[in-house]
Amino acid sequence: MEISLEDIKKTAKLAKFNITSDEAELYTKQMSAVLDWVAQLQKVKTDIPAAQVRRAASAPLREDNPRIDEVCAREIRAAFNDKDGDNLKVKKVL
Amino acid sequence: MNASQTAAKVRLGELKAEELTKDCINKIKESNAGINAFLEIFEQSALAQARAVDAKEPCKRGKLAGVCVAIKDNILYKGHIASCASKMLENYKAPYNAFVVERLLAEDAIIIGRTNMDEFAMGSSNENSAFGPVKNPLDLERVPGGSSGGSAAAVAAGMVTMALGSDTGGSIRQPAAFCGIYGMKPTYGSVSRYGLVAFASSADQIGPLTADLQDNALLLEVLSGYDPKDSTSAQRPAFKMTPAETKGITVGIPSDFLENLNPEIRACLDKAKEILSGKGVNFKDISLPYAKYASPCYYILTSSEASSNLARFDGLRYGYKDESAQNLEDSYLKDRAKFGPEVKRRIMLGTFSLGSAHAEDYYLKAQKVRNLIANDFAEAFKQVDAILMPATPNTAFKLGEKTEDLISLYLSDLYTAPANIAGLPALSFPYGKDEKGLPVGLQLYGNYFDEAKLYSLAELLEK
Repeated sequence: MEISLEDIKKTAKLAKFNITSDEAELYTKQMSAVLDWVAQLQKVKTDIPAAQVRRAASAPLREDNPRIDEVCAREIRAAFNDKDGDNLKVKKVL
Repeated sequence: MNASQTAAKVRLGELKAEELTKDCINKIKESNAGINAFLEIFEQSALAQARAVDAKEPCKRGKLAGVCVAIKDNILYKGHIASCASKMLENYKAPYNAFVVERLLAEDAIIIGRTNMDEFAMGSSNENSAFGPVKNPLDLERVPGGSSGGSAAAVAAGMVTMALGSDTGGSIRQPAAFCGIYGMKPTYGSVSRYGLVAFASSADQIGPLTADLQDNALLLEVLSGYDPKDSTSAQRPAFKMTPAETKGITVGIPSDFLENLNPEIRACLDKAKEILSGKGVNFKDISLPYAKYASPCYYILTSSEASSNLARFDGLRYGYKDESAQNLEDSYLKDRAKFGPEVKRRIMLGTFSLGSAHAEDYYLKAQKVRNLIANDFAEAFKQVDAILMPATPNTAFKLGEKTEDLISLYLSDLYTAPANIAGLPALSFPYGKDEKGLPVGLQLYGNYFDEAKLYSLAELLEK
């Protein structure tokens, strides 16, 4: 699939990347090649039951019970350079 | 001497963990410069750990007493840097231990250092590290494979006998094949991902790389087991290596998936088939019609997951912070510039694939194809007990050889990606050499939690 320079610029913006015009051109070329390659998936017939069922997972998800690991939380807070009690200070961003 | 023999001697008091650790540190210092397998040796903590092991009563020492184990740079070890070989996390210190690190420490292993890798585990050649490529110790002009290239090279160079890697599309098994060692991608859910920096959570799995087959099974015994901190951890007992009966079992060869196979690798595969047949193993041709789609499927799905998982590296929650940023948007743009080109490319591919205009055609389509691939294997395992195939389409290639050809590089995962897509275990083991003298890796796939059968079949080939 041909991807346009504009698509690449829009995607970079969504991904929060500041890319130069040279990079935009390079990514356009590379992403077009990758999308051409993955286009083979479009030919696979997937409107059949086997494709629709949920994958037989080897590990079903655990129950979603709220849980706080106090020790781990404390250690992660301790890793912050600047804090005031349990409030973590970051540089002004707005 | 393999790792289990070393540990046995430490448990008997015949060897000192401290001496073994000092020897290991010296070996790494002597060999690492030309290979770049290690990013850091944890000299102080390793020696302190070794002394603590020596201070224990010998009979109370663990399964891996005194064995030096290297960990991939995306696995958290409290108080130590875990950079994912990225400038983004260059100075990130782990605030807690990964589940697998706790397991290693509980068994008195010595965590000797962190190994180089493709940045954020994205790559098949280890050329994507922000700290320079890893060289294959068997031929310094060639790549060791990736993304766990540092771990594989460290083992192949004899710096350590055991190392941990992570495998999302082949990142343990492909470097194991290129470096002539053993690498296991366990069943998804059998080894906790707690403390592994996430790349693609539905496929990531930590596993062992070793110079010796028995050591590989031993290390998996230590690593596996239920962990409530990983939401996809399997609620079942830890893996225990119990030799499986191999006489009379049936191994499948997926002929349709092996069309156009490199003749030198096919010759090794045929030889393995012949040897196993002579030892009472039956063979059956099977069909895996959708397996060829695993690589493109993998790139869409894992890039999509990565675009979400790596959103946390924004300079606020995690990662590099550029102090000159003037506002939030500026901060994001400046901080995320620290990602390398392959990581950016994959995040962009994922962002594109998940976008409202394309999600149906890319992400959702790939999820449906993933079901078909998993279904292929479910059908195959109704007929056979294991599947034999190559680990890689080719042997180790030269540094820089595939840099310009992304698709060719991506196809390095051709035979490994299906295991991650379906969540199955697969063991890569060295079997023969090509005419350049480079190791050929073969691979055994098993049904869920059937790792013991794979080890037993590989052992049969060694005898």
